[in-house]
Amino acid sequence: MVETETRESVLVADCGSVTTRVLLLDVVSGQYRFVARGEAATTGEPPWSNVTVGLLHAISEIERITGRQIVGENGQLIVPSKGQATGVDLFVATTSAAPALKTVLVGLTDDISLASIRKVALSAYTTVVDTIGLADTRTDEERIRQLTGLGPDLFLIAGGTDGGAGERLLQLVETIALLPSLAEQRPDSPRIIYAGNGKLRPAIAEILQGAALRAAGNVRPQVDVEYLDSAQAELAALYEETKLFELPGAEDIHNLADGGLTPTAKAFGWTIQYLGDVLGSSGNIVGVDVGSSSVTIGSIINGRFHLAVRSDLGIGHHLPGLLEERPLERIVRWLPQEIAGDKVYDFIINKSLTPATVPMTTQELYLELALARELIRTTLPAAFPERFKNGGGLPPSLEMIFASGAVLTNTPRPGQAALALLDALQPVGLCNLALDSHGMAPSLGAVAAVLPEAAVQIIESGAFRELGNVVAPVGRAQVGEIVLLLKMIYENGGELEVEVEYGSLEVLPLPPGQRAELQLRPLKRFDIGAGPGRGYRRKVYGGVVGLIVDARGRPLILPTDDGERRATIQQWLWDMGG
Amino acid sequence: MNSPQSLLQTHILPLTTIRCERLLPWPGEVLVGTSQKVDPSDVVARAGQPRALQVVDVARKLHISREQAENSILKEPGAAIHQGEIIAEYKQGFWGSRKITSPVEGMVVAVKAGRMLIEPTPTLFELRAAVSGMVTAATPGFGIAIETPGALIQGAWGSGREGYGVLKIGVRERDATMTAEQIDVSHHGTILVCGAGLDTPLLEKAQELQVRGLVVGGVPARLLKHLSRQNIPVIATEGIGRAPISATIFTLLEANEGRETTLLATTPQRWESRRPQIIIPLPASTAPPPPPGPAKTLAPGQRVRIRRAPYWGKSGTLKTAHERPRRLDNDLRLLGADVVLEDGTVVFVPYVNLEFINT
Repeated sequence: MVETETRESVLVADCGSVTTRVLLLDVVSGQYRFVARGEAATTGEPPWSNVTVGLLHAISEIERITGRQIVGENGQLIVPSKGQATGVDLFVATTSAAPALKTVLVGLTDDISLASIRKVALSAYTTVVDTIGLADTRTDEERIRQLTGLGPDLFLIAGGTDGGAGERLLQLVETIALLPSLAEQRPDSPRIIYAGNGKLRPAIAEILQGAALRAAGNVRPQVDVEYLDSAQAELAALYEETKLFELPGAEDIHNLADGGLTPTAKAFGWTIQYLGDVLGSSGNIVGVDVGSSSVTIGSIINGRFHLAVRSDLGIGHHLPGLLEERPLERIVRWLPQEIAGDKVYDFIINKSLTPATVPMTTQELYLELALARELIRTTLPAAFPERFKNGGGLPPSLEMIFASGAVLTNTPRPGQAALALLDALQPVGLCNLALDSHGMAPSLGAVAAVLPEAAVQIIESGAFRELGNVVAPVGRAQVGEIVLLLKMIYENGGELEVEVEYGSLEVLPLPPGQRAELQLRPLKRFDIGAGPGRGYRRKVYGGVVGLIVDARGRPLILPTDDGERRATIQQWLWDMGG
Repeated sequence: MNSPQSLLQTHILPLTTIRCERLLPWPGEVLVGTSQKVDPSDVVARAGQPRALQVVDVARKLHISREQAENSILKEPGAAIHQGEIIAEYKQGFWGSRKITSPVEGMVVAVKAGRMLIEPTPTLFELRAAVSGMVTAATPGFGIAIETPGALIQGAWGSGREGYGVLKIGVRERDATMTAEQIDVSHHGTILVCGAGLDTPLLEKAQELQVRGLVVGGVPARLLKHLSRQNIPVIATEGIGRAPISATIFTLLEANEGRETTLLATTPQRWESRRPQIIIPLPASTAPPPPPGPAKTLAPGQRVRIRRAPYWGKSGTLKTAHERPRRLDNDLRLLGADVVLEDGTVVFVPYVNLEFINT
């Protein structure tokens, strides 16, 4: 209790690649509440080359808004607070602005050891620059030449079951052992995490003599058993010891922050886990964060947490990375107007050169949302590897989807963001959509690590902007056929009955703060999350969009005719109030 | 974003003191000293340029086991070797021996598991001054700084090369674009300003006639990979796509037509401060002009450039800095400023879409 009384005001900062956000939380009427937000450009890059400059700019915004002095005359944070108007009691900080670890994966087979080690790599800010495995047909000379040019920071090595044979893995490791930079013991020499057959550790250490080698538990102790925690923990620790501090000024923030400076993706993952725990949700949760230099999708599916970070993708600095995996046609298909592919290509490169800029026209707003859709869709296989291993298929029923990242949270109309999320994630059943409008999602995870009650109370007080619930029936029918009977009984006794046609998208009124009972009766064996043809009643809460009924089908198939497709996209935007 | 405190700044300066750092990509030898005058073609430093490492798989080449290969290798790490020198020999008793010779001259850097890694002798890399001026600093082993009075224009994108020549304006209107047919022998050896855009025929003709560099408003994204592989330096003053060269830059270039000009077409990198630059050395006056000033603060009268459509690439003068968010055509509400464009139109632009022009 004493601890709580002395830690009332909390300053939380997230230094993104483009924007630094600072939030002030304080105790109001006995509960932690969000008080003010300040934003400024992140200044880790030249010409400033010190991330604390942008942090101080953002804090000065809060000082201006609240009249509270947070930074002293000496330029230092005033911690702890002195009365109501000076200083703060706690400071927590996260960042996604530091460079990613350039990583080479080394393993045996694509679908076993390399698949597992890839999941490990995608749990933190890494960029996979090369993969060496049994299917790799390059000569040693080609491998060494390419590795020398790539200048990797890390080799993630796995392969073999515990106690199994290891000759082929040792041969692969012997190849990379030739790299002179491995044994030079410079601060920038590549590091190695070995997470393969435990029996081979001494032999691996001998081959890689002189290299900075760390051992983790085998990611595949048995062929049908996957164990990633140990390797993920080693990778997280390595990132925080090395790359995090390459961000100019990061060390100063690390020394100031309670719990140190935390990678944003890691804190975002904590928030998702926390939401699962605190909300007491028995359902599945997905959080999406579309940043300038990374896309993160975290999930709890059937009680299992998974985090996927694509550090080679983003809506700003790393936008060109999208073109490596998605042709321009995949992007422009989400646009209600015709734009030449070359214009989109030019836009993508310009946006990567000036990532902080924002759209001033409706066309560019829609283009950024189209890019956000494809960034999310490109990250999905990493986020749900088991689902995509066999070519995709329907996503699991979700209870909640929340989205972070200015491209989604700053849309002028909430329906635009909601539609982008529906198109990208294509949820099925009944699901709640929310936006992290204050950019609090990663910060809440970091706060929870040091002051759990603050995080709980902030989440309960409405940290997220509720867009509304979405009902998405799944099945087979002709467009226009009735597939769902929906009845909504409002708190005031009013009722609304709707016959939902296959292929339709509509929004039913249910504003924020209102509750209603939703009765769903699927026809034609359509599934709304309870099994084919099975209906249910559920209490639902309102949102700024309303209750969305998305009967467009799963997977969503767009018309092939360009004109018809553009008209359809425009119609959906109108339907959603976008 | 609410804060306008961290706007980027672009220098478009008719006369300033330009400091140009010329650094070796690898440690080497600096050949000039401070207070020495240099011309663009002068070699100011040199270094060994590393070549691709060579792997010799002794076991595979001699068809023997890894262990046998280890015993057959004749050179240890650190040993210097000549091309054709025997580096491994496997004796087969009565039947004689099989040998491997080095494919290159160089040094053995590693011997592991029956493989040898050879670092070939580096080739000579010569760093030229690229710009005329006075050497004001020399760091042994790394490089120099050259200072000169002159005009300085920072661009938005560069192809990654550098060059120098006489500045020639190929278009009379800043929003016009040259065609390949308009390039002739009179453009040989020049730095050519060829307007709002660039296409492949124009690029190829310029290379054929040995044009030393191109300045354009914008380059199409589809040409970027191709341009990065060409020797000719290209600077886009505005960015990617077709864009008229800004009026301020075009006027400055026109005023300096016929002067020796250097293009340092650095490709912008996230963690590097260097931007592509057009440097036009000018005759020194009695007192050196001031160097580029520090970042400006937001104030009416400040020259700015807009970085997003529908005004992308346009410059103007800041009229009013708003303290409350304003609504854009797409309904986004943001903090920003009213800007008077060159044609007199006043438009509202979010701060994040502006950059200061230091003129």
